[in-house]
Amino acid sequence: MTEWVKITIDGKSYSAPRGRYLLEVCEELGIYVPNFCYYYKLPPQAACRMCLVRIENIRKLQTACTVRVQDGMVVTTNSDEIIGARQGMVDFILANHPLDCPMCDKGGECELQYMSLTYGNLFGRYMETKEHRDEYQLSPFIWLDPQRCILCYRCIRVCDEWVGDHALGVLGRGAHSEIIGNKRDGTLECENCGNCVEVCPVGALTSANFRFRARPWDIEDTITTCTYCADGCQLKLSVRDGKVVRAWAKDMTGINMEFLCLKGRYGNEFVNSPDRVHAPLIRRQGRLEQASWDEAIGLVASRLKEITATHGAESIACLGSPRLTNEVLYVLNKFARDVIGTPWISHIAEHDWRPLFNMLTAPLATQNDIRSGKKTLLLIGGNPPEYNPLTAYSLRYAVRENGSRLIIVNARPLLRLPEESEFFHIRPGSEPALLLALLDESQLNLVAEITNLSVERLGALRRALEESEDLVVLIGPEVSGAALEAAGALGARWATERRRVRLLPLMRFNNSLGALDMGLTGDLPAPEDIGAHIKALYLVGVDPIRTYGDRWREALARAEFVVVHELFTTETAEYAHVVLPAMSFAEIDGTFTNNAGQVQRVRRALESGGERRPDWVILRLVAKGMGVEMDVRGSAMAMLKDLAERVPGYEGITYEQIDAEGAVQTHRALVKEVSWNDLLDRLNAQVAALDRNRDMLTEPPALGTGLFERGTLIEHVPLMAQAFGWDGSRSRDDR
Amino acid sequence: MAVLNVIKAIAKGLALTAKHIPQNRITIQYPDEPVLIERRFRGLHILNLDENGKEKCVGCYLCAIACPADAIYIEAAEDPRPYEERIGVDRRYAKVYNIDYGKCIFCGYCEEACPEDAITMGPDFELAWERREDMILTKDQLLASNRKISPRLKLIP
Repeated sequence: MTEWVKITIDGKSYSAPRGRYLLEVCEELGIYVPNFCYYYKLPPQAACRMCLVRIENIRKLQTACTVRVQDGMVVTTNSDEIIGARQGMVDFILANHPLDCPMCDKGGECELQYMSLTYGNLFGRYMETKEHRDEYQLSPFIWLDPQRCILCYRCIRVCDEWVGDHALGVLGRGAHSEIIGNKRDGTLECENCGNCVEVCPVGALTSANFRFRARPWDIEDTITTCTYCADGCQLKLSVRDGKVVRAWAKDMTGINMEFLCLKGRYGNEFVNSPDRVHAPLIRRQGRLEQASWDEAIGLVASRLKEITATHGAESIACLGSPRLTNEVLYVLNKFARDVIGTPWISHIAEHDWRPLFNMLTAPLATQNDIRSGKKTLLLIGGNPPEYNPLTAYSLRYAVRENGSRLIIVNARPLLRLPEESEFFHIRPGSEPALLLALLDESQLNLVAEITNLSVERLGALRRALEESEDLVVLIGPEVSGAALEAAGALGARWATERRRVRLLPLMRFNNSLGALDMGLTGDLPAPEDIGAHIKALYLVGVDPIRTYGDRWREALARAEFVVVHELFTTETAEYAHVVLPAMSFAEIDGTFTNNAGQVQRVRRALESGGERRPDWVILRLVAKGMGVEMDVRGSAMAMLKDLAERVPGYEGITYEQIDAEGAVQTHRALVKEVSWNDLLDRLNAQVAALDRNRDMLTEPPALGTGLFERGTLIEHVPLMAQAFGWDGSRSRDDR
Repeated sequence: MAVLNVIKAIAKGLALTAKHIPQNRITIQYPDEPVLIERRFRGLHILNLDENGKEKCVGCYLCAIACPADAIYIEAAEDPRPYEERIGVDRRYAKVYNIDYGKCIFCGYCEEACPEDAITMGPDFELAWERREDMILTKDQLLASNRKISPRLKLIP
């Protein structure tokens, strides 16, 4: 229970929760106290001393960011004394800070500019020459200008607390202190998430992609959802002259608060790539040649009709990408089932998550669920810092702020998760056995043998769950098949009246869950079937060669007809007969569903150049060419309305609701009765088939295993390609 | 009679014209004679150089935002070479600096906004182009080093 105390600020009395920092209380009451080094939910530093206030009965001025409110406190936030003190502080900060704002990249959104103008002296009182230090590159993504640094330590605290990298530190003392990276030469070796750049109040830390490219006043920001992992961070895309120049975290109201990872922050410039397909391409004499839309749509429609007539509708397979919006996937599903009439409508899934959702007995955990209140967090498999960075951030937050208990079960030790966590080191591949131990106490001996954990340790794990009052289970992609069903059933097994259980699948793509919800199955045709009884492939944004390897190369070569909607001429597009230029996530409206089942908006940030069209428009045109008028309404908003009427769980979701609430939770039917015997039989069979002799892995996965991975989109980001030494994308002649 | 009246009127007019021919001309005889231009005349912009021939512009975009007609387009870039070798006075410089004279209203706000005295309004007033594309002048055309003041103008001292 929070205890409320009476305090007086500037002659007015207020009540405030005891123990809160005075600065936060003032901020909530709408009394502005200037500050630099304070940052929401970061440990206080009191380095800038801008937030000085007078507290009665304390001899000196106090920093509001470190004083906790107490009963009867009498505070003055504005007086001649305080104004003088602030002017002195600004003078100190500017003692070594260059005054060449036009040169500086932060100009226009700089907190120091604002503070100096509002609270500083008109003329500085220091006549001494300023110490000059040169700007240098900390990493391919981050630049540091030490002389602009005001030593607020926000970057260091963010790196420690948000990211867990501990990559930044301070060198030297006093006025000679300097922010420095963790490598010997002072540069950075970290995941390059750029959160330090985001929180820097001045122009000391800058992003390599945004430096000098624009000013805050000539860019337009659009709030949208990230298109990489399934966590679904909210980001602001800044656009100047029809080009994405940077991505910024939305603000504290997004599900990611102000956190973004490397890919979310620096991975969006593929939208600008000159390599994008800009007009329809048709294969003529073995080469893809530019064609008109009418020609391309006519060809696709007539060939699909021909193939349906000769081999039947079942010979056409439609595959969608889990990166597409819900609206596109919904229309694709309709197109496949109603227009073509094929049962082959699937999405490219790296992992089959359907067993979990078929046996779901507990609600999905949102990031907010992880971060609020004291919990027990059980992470089975997965590698959140690399594949689901926001989840890793939330885990660190939960442990740091709420003292939550984090239990990690993994075949390898994981980096960048809190040291306070308990680690259960299991044999690689033995995750299903562990779930057996959680469901069935009588099998502990067997599980102990398979997982290489002692029976006592397994007992301790079960006890930890028994002791918990609020349990969140995070399930990595190592858990599959019956084990995934077992994970879904954990709710039925462990939830009691006083224990709440929630589940979070660590999915891979931004709309993996949306694709399942929209009715795209995960059943792909086997590559051997292509050419045999699958004659044509309709691929929307997918690159099976990239995802599944060379077996698909031959398969695609055998297909009679391949249509691709793509942004780039991928390896798959090279086997296509028709390539239709689609729009990227930054150019359309729509929604994504994240791994917690929350629907969030994707907003159009810029005009698409060339003759590109949104996927649903292309699908409707093809349907029209085949003589079927699809019941697809004109705008993404209208499609969501349609979709909300038909897709279970999405009832009543509208853009207005998403705009107002940020993220809207979908409703998922929970399984009431679990047939335990069946489930345990299946799980036992899966566990019996496990390899019991695999060697234990002791090395943690390398930094950047997931984050620095090359992908179909990210390889077209110039900064990424340069930083990781990827060879340039294939030249135009190769098309 | 009507014809006579007409001839009379023409003769009268011509007489007035003839009377003025030997008198002093009060209009400016452009382009035969140079036009006198005030020092503070706001004509075609000049991008200034420092005493070593380095571009003064640091690409801060302040003129672009000050411009009420949105006529200025800048792309800033970085030149990390030492002062002697680089293009501008500082490591940041304007890689692209275009002014669209189809839009410019010669208000001089850009000059006022410039913190580096890099852009000033020059005396050139001869602003006629045949094509719209030509009305967008690039950095090369605006730089002081590439500019010849037209012989058809004279600055009032």
